[in-house]
Amino acid sequence: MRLDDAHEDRRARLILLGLPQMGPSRARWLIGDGGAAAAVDRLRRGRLTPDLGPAPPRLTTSLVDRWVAEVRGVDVDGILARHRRLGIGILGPNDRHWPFAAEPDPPLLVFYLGDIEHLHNPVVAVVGTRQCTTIGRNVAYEIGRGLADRGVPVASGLALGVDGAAHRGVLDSGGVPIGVVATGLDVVYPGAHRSLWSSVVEHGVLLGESPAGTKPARWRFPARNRLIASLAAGVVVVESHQHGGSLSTADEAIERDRPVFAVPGSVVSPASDGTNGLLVEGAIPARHATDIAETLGVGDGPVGRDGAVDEGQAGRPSVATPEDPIAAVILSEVATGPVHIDRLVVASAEPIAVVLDTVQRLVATNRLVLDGSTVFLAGHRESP
Amino acid sequence: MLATIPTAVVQGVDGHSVSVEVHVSNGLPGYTLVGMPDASCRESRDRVRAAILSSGLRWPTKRITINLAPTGLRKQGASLDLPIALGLLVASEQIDGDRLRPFGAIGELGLDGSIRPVTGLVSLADATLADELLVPADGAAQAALVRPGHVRPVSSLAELVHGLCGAAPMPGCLDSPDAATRPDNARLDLSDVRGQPLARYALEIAAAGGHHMLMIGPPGAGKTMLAARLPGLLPPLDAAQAVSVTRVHSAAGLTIPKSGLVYAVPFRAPHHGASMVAMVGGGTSAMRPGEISCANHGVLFLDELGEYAVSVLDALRLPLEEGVVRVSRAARAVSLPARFLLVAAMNPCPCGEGGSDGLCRCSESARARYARRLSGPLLDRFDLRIEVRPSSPSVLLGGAEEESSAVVADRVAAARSRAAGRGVRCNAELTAKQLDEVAPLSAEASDHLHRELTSGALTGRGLHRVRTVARTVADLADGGTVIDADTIRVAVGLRVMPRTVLGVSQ
Repeated sequence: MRLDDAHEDRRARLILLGLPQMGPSRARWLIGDGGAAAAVDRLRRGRLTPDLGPAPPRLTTSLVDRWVAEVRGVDVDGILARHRRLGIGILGPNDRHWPFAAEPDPPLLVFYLGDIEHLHNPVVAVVGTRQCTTIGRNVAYEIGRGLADRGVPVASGLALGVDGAAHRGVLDSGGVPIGVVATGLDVVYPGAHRSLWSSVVEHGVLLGESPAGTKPARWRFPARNRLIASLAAGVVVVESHQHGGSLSTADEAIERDRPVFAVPGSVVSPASDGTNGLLVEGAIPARHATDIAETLGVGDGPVGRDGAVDEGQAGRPSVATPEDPIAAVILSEVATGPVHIDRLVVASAEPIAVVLDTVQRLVATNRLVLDGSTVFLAGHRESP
Repeated sequence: MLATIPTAVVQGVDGHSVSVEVHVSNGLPGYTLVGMPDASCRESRDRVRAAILSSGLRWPTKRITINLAPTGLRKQGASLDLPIALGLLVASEQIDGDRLRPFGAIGELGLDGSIRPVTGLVSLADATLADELLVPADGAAQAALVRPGHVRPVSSLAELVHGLCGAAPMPGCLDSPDAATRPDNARLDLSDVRGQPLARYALEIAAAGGHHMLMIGPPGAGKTMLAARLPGLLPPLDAAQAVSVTRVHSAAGLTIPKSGLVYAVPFRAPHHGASMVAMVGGGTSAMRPGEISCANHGVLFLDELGEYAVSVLDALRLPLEEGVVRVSRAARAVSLPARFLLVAAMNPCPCGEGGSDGLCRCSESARARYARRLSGPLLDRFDLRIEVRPSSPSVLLGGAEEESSAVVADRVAAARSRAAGRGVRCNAELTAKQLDEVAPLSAEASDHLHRELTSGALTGRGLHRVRTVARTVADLADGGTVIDADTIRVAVGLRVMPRTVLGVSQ
């Protein structure tokens, strides 16, 4: 395809995306075999030739009439300028970095913020319910963190619950988060994840198939899930309710022959109904990042937060400074997991004030985190 | 004929002088009660009539008019029974008015003529304008608290009338209750608590510095047990405080010890179903004091903080600042004392197992809803926020003997006397200006606080609270005037909220 043609093709795709209620399957139907520019042309003339084939379900004539009426009014230059102003990159099928070459149901265009080159490495998706349990959240965090420790980029949907926890685990390990969202990249959703949103852009890449300004809509989320499945070498579902949305990510992955992992949960926990169901249907059980990385053959080999020795985590001091024996006791106590200050008092046999002071010193130097009266080891970076 | 008997009514915790004027004249027999009596007061007619008849006296079959002056004040309660009966007896010439002249009267009558105790006797005795008081024998010690040597306990109308007629001796005057009968404050001893070094330390700081404290932990961790031991660590009430506590408790209708004086440090633990009126006071025309006033000079313990009505919790904010609560109703407004140490306990989430153990079965949205119940401004009032975890079995079933309340109370008293030297009751009351003088920061401490502020971990208000806590920490450790970084670190470490409780995920 010549450069001019590629250029025209992208503008035509932007025009199509500027039309109301335009999803990927409707766009594909409109384009048919003729290319996006021809589709726009047809709409402009108000003629939809019958050789387009059967219309997708739930597409009404009145909506097509609206497209015909609005197609001339789409201000492509304005849209392009807006994306330039927001720093949002746009990829089309002809671009070198196009991540959906093998995708049966590709997006019209990909919008991204951050470094798109991250997608060249094999990616693992970690997804799950928004209504997760504390256990689910912690497991998602640890899997995200463990995969990132091995250098594996982790994709997720930036939703509340499991998704957010997975992203945070990746960020705390200093790894590469990949956020795939259903809104325009300038429309933060959910609002509670504003800071996480910008952290993902800063340290990884944020992408979606909707142009800037697109508000969240129910139907866009399953479409987003297919992009996650399509990007990933494997999909891990941490927790999902019986008919949870993350099961659709798993279904999309199965359709694309990607391995699906599920974290086993209690048979009485509703938040694990969906994931346990996946296991019954043959998904691969995953307890931690090691299970996933070894099965997929991704990453730099074991770097061990799952039992192996923590060697790869240079930069994180794992031994206390020799001049402070109390700090040494505290650090060895918290090495196995979060502990209450009371236990540190017992272990060190020091007065509570001394223990609190030492803990706070270690907090100040970013080696420990004090959450309430519970102490645990800090990550590489301060968690949000 | 006319008779006037001095008495009083109570509103909030203050008594108001009232004159009962009884006029008996010829005319159609009838009974009129005027002067803004409320329902409980209007009922007095039938009690008084039965009591007079049961005591072998005569009910005048004449025109009876009773006025409660001043008429602008709403009167309530049965304490006006006795003055009305005495007024009637004088006005119908059954008792000599001159004999009764020096006496004010307070008391409820039974149908058999017995004189029953009333609530608010301390305030009532204080406000009654008479040389001597006739008060119910049960509780007379409370009246003697404010009018020592001028209180005569009476137990039945017949006996009283005999005394007044000279047929029997009048009961003698009561002296002030004996302060020596002070009860042992620390029946609940801190040595009962096994382990829990952090919670013990926080309790000690709370008692020494008057810092409000929030305990977060699963059910059964010992939060209530710890809170109940706080009064035993506080300095005992002095005489003036004891009288003021007795006055409030009497007005609120709480049980007063036989001695007539409440000497125990108050510990109030209202259930989380408590209404706004139950908590801050008001309600009836008596403007009964609420729980926060009953906790004056003591401890208010709110268990299951997240379960209280949000409006009730937010109503605590102003009293926490000012030490008084102003209750305004259409009819009138009263000021009630409310200087208390607030101790609250809560579960980290609805299932109670939250925190870092990973046992929580709550959904994120349920946790967020739970966290939203606590307003930021209320959480900000807690200088000490600690997590309480159950002690391990080995500590519960054995372990060393723990420090007793008496030992800790001595350190608390020493710290409080240091605070008194600064012109405040406790360090929590220190103003920012005073802090610069009595708790200047070392350079390193200042740096540390600067970092906390810029990282957003501390607010401006939090900064001030941390400095007052640091002052208390240093006082307990016999530290000098300058607050060093170690002390600041301890103070900051004692106010870290668990993120799950704040509704912040991960």
